Amino acid sequence: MMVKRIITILSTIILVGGIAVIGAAGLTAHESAIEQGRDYLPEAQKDWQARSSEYSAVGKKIKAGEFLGTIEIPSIKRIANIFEGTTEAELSKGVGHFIQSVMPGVKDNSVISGHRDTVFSNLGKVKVGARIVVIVESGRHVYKVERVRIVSKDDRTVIVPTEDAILTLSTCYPFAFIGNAPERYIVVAKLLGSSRKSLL
Amino acid sequence: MKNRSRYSLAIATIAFFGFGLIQSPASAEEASATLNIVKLVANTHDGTSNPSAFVIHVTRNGQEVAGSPFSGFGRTGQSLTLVPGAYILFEDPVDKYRGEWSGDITPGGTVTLSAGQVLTVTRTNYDIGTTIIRPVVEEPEATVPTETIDGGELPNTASPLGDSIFLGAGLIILSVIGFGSRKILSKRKIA
Repeated sequence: MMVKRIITILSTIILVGGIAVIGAAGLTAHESAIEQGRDYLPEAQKDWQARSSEYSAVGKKIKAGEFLGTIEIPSIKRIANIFEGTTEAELSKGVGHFIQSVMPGVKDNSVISGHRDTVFSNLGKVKVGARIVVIVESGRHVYKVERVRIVSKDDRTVIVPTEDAILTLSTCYPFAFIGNAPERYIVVAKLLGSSRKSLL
Repeated sequence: MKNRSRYSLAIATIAFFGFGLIQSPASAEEASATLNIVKLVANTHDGTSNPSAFVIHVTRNGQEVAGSPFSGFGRTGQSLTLVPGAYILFEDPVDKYRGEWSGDITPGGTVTLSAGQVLTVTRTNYDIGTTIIRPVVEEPEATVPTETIDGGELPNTASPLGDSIFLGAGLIILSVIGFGSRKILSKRKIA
């Protein structure tokens, strides 16, 4: 009788705990979805327009968490906001621009990362030849996917300087993995063309 | 005799008017005015002082008036009967308190009393408390690199969302097993 009562109490506590954890996760996901759906671009474009004459990617100062622009991958019908930095604070709102990489649209390797279970959940469906459109202060930049690869999370050959204007997208892999995924899914795209406000 | 009395009357008249002439200015000064001083202390931080801890001076032409300095009064106030004129009021500083004048007084502490006037001034002291200097946390501003780092570490893009759902689901399954085992125990007991 006593054992039964203890099992009942424990099971009830565990059940409530489980529901609470899932509820909290759902709430976080909901807030994150609202944030990810927010359209920052029109407001940002006004600012960009106002300072268009003085824009230069060289020596440009930027703060972590700052809105940079948007990325669109038409083949998977995904549009996401780009923020400066790749911590959870930025990734929960959209995708993050790797701080130690160049801005999109310029020569060299610009790296953008996103969560595999939200913004980049369908990154695995992006094929070679697909277009990626990035709108940032310097203009609208269209990339073409050149290759896709899966690397170890410790791989140091992805974030490297490049001769061409490259856009590298990264997310955790496998896509359906519990915990810290051991690999990274990498999409490498090359700049096809830009409609720039000013050239560097 | 008659002349003598006339003489006396003349002296008395001169004396009367003379006194009047001499006393006229003094009488004007003696037409008093009233100054009420109210003392308030606001301890909104960690201050514990009460109005009696503060000493107020009332001066005229650099001289303290009778009874000044004053202390130990509060909201009920200290009422002074003063001759008309300009007075300067000030307070001895008290550590960790700042003070303000309000009412019929300038911010600098000057009161001008006219004959028959009743003015009220209030001295309020606020405790400053311990000043906590909080560092301003600002996101560091960095220059956008003109060259991508060679061999940069790939960002961790693991979302805590999946893990939370997995943990929650695990707990629910565990509780279901718990409830199930309870039923098994009951059946065994019956058997």
